Amino acid sequence: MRDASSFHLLGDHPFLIDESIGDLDLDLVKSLVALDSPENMLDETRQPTGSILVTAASWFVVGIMLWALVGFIYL
Amino acid sequence: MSHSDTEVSGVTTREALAGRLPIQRSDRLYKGFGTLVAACVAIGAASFNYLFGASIAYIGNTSIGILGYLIGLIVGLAPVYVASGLISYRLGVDPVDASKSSMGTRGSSLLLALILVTTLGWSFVLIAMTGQVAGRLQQILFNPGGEIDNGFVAAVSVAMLLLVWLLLKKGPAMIALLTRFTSPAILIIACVLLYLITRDVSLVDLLHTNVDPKQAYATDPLLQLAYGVEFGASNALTSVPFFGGIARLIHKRKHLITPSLVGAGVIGAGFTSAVGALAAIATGSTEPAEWVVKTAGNGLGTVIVSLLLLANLGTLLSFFYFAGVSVQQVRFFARMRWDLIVAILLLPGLVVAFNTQWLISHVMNWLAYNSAMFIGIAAVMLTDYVLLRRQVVLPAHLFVKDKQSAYWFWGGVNWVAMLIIVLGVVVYLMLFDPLSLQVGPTFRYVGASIPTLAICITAYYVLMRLVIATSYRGGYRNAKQLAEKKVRVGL
Repeated sequence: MRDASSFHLLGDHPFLIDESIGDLDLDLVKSLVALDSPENMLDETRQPTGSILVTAASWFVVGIMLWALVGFIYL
Repeated sequence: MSHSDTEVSGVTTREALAGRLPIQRSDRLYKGFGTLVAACVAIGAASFNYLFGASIAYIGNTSIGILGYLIGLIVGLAPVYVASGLISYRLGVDPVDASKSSMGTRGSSLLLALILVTTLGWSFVLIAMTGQVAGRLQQILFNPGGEIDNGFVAAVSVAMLLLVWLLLKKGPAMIALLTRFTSPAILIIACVLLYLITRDVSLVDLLHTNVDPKQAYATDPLLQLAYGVEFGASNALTSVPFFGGIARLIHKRKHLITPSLVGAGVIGAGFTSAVGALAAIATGSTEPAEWVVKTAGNGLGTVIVSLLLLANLGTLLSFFYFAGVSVQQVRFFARMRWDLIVAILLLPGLVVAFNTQWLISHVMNWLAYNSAMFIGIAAVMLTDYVLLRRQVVLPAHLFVKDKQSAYWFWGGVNWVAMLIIVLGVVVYLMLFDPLSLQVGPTFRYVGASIPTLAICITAYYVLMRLVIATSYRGGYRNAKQLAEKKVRVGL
């Protein structure tokens, strides 16, 4: 078993790679390394998603309130 | 770390977009509000919405049915998008990989099976409907009073399959490009149809016109409203298996929920189904080819129906794309060229082309029960990621295939999640049977999807808290240590 650095992946990565690794799996390792890179960790996609949850919750509450309102009108 | 070491090459980017590799934010396709809305309209506004619209009319009160359907789409899509889209958006992974953290490394195969069944099932239904509607149009124009020419139906269906292959072999960028044209076309057609059906009777009068009470599903207004909401929520739940496929292509956080909900829900499914409901009331026909020609005349009717059928291409490309990415969970497909994967997925369509009527009547019935399974899956994914994991998932462990994975649970399957999915099916069917439309006593107040979702979320949370308190299974308690552990990943 060789370390990831043999495949020109510098830095400390949590991947076990041997010489038999195929191109596709090596691409996967590179993608995962890029995903956890310090610059990507600062990316908008990796930041907390409070605003997404609030938006979804707001739509849900609007839907429920509309349901209650229409139901009340026809009750 | 040098930039060149971690840079994902052009080839890898293409592989990522058409395959399972995590997609970096810079490579994502949907960078603007408009392109995303257009893509979502294409997904939500297939021509079968005009048929669903007729079902809304048969609820018994047209305006209550349309309002209820819209409400159901909103209350259904909001939790579904969080459940199935959040992990895919944050990590750029495909929905089956995203589901491994909650359903287990091997348990995610259930979602893979459901994605394939749902996307391919609906796609083939759409192809069959396209063939049937074209055949009906040909019969109305050239053989009035005669039979539909099955050879013509098959030829149109095969032509659609070929067109899908030619366009989709270029990858998902073609979907974004095509939907820029098909989505406005769908909306323009819907507006033209709305104008045509309200030429003689005003919109307000149509909204107050109802089907014969003897033919209606219900006469109690609250029950009618609940039916409308449930139909909308059921439609929304079919997004569970594939919304992650769109979410991983979205560039901005603020675009994850609203453009998708407005595009696929309010405009795509809501508006077109409402037009279908009003058309069914105005013309007394549930067949789009028939009522379009009836209201627009032979010439304009033919143009509208033809455009309507061609606009289905946006939906078909999206569905086959989701299936093509997900099927690469099977290594045999992961090594295959993209155009070949698409061709293999389209192959069963050749059988469909010659059995369109059989497919529509049998597969649609089966697909009606799909929602029951998706409620449990949505509850599990939502609770697991947001409440139990506090949004911490280890991307590398989503690609570990053995028991070294944090998400191995018991033999690769989270059996608690499986139990909850079964519980969801049982509870949902106790409250509402989507085929016979029989309902439980509480249905008229709360429907079936929302209470089932609430029960599944509560049950999963309580049971998993017990698991977390007594063991390290699932990587909930030791995520930090697991993140530092060396693992072998693979596709």
